[in-house]
Amino acid sequence: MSEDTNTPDPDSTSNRTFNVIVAIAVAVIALAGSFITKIQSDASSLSSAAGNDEQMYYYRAMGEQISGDANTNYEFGTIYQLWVEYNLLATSAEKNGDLAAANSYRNLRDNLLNNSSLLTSDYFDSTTGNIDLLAYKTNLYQLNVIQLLEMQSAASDVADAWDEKDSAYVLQLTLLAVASFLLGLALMTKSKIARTVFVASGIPMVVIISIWAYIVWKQPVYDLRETGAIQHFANGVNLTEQKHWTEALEQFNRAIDLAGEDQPYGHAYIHRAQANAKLGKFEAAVNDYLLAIDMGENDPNVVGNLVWALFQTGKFPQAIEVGQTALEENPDNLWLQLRVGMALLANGDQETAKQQYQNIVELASDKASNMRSLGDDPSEIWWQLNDASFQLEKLVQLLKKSKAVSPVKSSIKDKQLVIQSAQDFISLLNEASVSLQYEIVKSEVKTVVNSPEFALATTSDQVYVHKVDVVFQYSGLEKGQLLAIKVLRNGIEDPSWTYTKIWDQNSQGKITIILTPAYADVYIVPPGTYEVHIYVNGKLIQSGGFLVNGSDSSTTAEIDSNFVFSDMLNSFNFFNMDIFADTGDLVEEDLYFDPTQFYETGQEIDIDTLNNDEETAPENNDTFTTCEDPNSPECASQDATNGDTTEDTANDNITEDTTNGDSTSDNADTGGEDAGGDTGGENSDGGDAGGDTGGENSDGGDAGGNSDPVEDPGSAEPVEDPGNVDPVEDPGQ
Amino acid sequence: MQENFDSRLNTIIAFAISILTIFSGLLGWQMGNIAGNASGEYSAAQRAELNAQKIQSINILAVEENHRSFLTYKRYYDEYQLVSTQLDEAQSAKDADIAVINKLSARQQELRILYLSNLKLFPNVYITRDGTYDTKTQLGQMWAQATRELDLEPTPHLEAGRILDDQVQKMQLALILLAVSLFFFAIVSTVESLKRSIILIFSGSGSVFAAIGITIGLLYWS
Repeated sequence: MSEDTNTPDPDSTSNRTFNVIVAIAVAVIALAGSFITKIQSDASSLSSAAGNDEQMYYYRAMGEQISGDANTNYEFGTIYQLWVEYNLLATSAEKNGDLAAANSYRNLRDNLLNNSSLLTSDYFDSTTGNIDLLAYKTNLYQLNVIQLLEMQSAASDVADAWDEKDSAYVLQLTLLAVASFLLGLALMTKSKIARTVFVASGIPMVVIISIWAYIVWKQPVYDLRETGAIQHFANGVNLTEQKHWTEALEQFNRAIDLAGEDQPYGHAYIHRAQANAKLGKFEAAVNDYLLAIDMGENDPNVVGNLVWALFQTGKFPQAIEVGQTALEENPDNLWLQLRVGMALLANGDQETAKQQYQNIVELASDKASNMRSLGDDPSEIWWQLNDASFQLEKLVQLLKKSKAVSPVKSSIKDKQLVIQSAQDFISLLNEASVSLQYEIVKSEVKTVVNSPEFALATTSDQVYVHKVDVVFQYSGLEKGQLLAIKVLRNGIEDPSWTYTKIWDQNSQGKITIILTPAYADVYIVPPGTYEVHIYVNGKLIQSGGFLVNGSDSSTTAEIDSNFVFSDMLNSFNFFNMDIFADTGDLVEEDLYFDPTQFYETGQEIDIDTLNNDEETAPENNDTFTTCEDPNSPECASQDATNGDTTEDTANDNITEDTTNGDSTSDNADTGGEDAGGDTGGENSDGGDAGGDTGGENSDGGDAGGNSDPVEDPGSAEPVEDPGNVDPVEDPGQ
Repeated sequence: MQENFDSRLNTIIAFAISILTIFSGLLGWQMGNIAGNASGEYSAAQRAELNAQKIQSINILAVEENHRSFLTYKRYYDEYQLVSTQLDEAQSAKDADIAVINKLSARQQELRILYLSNLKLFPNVYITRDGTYDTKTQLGQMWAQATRELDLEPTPHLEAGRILDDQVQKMQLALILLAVSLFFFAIVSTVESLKRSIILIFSGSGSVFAAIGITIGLLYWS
C-alpha cells in the first residue's frame, strides 16, 4: 500500500479541485446539520408539549367522570330516593286519612327540589316522578368527558406526529455523520478510485438528506382539535348512548367531513359503524369498520365488531378470515374467539366450529384459573360464555322461524345441521359457564331428572303471576353434588332467580322449589318466556320453561320479520336502561321490569290482592319429598300432603288443568315449548308430566284447603305444541 | 503484480465501505421504524391500561352506589319483616291490643313503601337468594360488556412491543458489527505503512464482521 502509485500529486490542479469539492460538501453537512439540529429540537419540544396535553386531557376527563358519577350517585341515590320515599309516604298517609302527615311529607318532599340539580324541570317530572338520568349526565359531564377523551386522543396523535419528525431528524443527523465519514475517508485514502467512490457516495447522501429534511420540515402536523370535528363526534357518541342512532349518524357524518379526506377520522368511522349496525345497516357498518382499520384503528374490539358485522351480512368466509387474522395476534381474546366460532358454525364447517368451541371452553377455563390465582373475580368469563350461548340460541330461533328474514339465514346452506350443532354448542357453553362459576371439576353424573313442571301462582284478581314453583322428580342425585337451577327470561339469565344447593338429601325423590326471588313480598313476575335449566355438578341434566304474559301480551311476539342479533350484555346496563327514560327498548325494560310496577306504571293494584300473606320471606325455598321410587303413587301422595301455600297455589293451577283437559296441556306445554326452541323438544315430556302430576297434586290442592281454583294467567293463552296436544297418562297413577 | 493487487484491494474496500455505510444507514432507518412500532405498541398498552383502570373505577363507583342502595333497601326490608312478625303475633294474641295492632300495621305499611322505593334504585337481578347483593357478578357483567367497546387488555400490546424491542436489539447488534467492519476497512484504506499480513487480517476481519452484520440485519429486517 505504501507504494501506491495512484496517490494524487498534492500540487496538481485536479487534486485541489477535488479537495475544494469535498470541503464544500463538508461545509454543507455542517450547515444542514445545524439546521436539522434546530428543527429536531423544536420537534422534540412540540412532541413533549402534545404529550403533556394528552395527559392533562386524560386527568381532566377522569376527574370530571368520577366527580360527575359521584354527583349523579348522590343526586339519584340520595336526593331522588328521598323524594320517592316522601312521595310514597305522603300518598300512603293521605290514603289512610292522615292529612297532617301527608302535608308534612309533601313539604319535606318539595323542599328537596330546592337543593337538587337533578330534580329540576329539565330532567324531572314531579307529577309522574320520572327522571331523565341520561340527559342529566349528558349535560352535567358526559359530553365534556367524551370531548376531553377525544382531545386526549388527538393530542396523542399530534405527539406521535412530532415524535416521528423528531426521529426522522435524528436519523438524518446520523446519516450526515456517515456522509462526513465517507468524505473524510476520501481525503485520507491513497487510491484514486477509492476516493472517487467515497465522494460519489458521500456527496449524494448529503444532497438526499438535505432534501429529505426539507420535506419532513415542510410537512404539516395535523391536529384534529383545530378542525371542530371533535364537538360533533362527542355529540354523536352522546346520542348513541341515548340510542338516537339516526341523529348520531348525522353528527358522525359532520365530524368526518370536518376532519377532511386527507386525515380520515378513525374514531368517527368506528362509531358511525356502530350506529349503522344498530340501525341494521350492516353493509355500511362493514365499510366503516374497514376504513377505520385501514386508518390504524385495529384494536381487537374493533376487529371483533367487524367480524360480527360481516357475520350479520352473511359473509361468513370473510368474517372467519378477518377474525382468524386478528386472533393470531390476540389468541386470548375470548370475545373474538366466540365471534369466529359462530361464523365457522354458520359457514357449515361443523368440525372446525366444534374444535373452536372446545378450544374456547379450554381458554375460558385457563383464563378463569389465572384470574382466580391472581385474586381476581372471573365473572366476566362466564358472562361472555352466557352471551355466546344467547347468540347461538338466537341463531337457532332464526333458523327455525319460517317468517324471519336475515342475510344470516339465507347464507346458511344446511340449516338443520347448523341448528343441531348450535344446540350442542349451547349445552357445551352453558355447562362450561356453570362449571366455571361454581368451580366444579367435571365428573360423571348419573342423575336423572324428569321433565320439570311449573306452578304459577297468581294474584286473586288473576292478573299477575307472583310466584313460580318448579316441581320435578329425580334419581341418582348424590350427596355433595351441586344442584344448580338457572332461569333465563327471554333468553337472558336473571341471576336473582338462580338456585343452588349442595345436595344433602336422599338420592331420589321429588322436590318443589320456589323459583321466584324472595326480595320483595309483593314481587310480580315480569312477563316473558322463561327457560329453566337444571344442572348437577355443572352438567345440564334437564330443562323446561313457562310463559308469563303481560297485560299487553307483548312478550308473546314472535321474532321480527327483519331479524337482527341483539346484544345480551347491553341489556344489563343499569343506567342506560329504561325505567326512567323512554327509549322504547323492550328487552331492557323487560329485564328491569320493576317488581313494584304498580307505582311505576300507575296501575293501581291493591297489595292485598297478592297472595303473599303466608310467605313474606321464605326461609326455606324448597320442599323435599324423598322416596325409594320417585314414580310411585306413594311418593306423589307424600308430596301432596305438604300443604304450604306454595303447594296449594301450584296445585290449584294444575287442578284446573286437569279438569280442563286442554288447559292441562296448554299449561304445562306452554312452558316446555316456548322456553326457547331447542328446549321445547326436551320439554315435551315436561308438558305431559305436568298434566299428570297435576292429577297427582289435585289431592294436595284439596288437602291444602284452598278450594277455589285459580286460573293461571301465564297459561291463559295456549301455545300450540304439536307434540303434546294429547295428555299422556302417568304410569305412576 | 503487487501494485495491481493493492489497487484492486483498495477499490474493493472503497466500494465495500460505501455499500456498508449506505446499508448501515438503511438499517438504522428500518430500526427507527421498528422502534417506532414498538413505541406504538407500548402506547397502545398504556391506553389499554388506562381504559381498564377507567372502566374499573367507574364500574366500582356505580356498583358500590348500587350496593349502598341495596343496603338501605335491606335495612327497611328486614325491619319490615320483623314488624310483620310482630304484627302477626299481636293479631294472634288472645287479648289483642287494637292500638298496638294499628301502630304496627301503620309501621308495616310505611316500611313496605320504604323498602319498595329503594328497590327501584339498583338492579334487582343481582340480589341473591340468600339476601345479599352480588357485586362481583355485576362487576363481571359490566366488564364483559366493556371489553367489546374498549381495548382493555394491555398484555398483548406489551408482548408485541417486547418482540419488536428484541428485533431492534438484534438490529443494533448488526449495526455494531457493521461499524467494526467499517473500522477495519477504514484502517486498511487510510493507513499507509501497514504490513501486508495486517492488511489481509484487517480486510478478512472486516469482511467477516460485514458478512455477519449484513446477515443479522437482513434476518431481522422485517
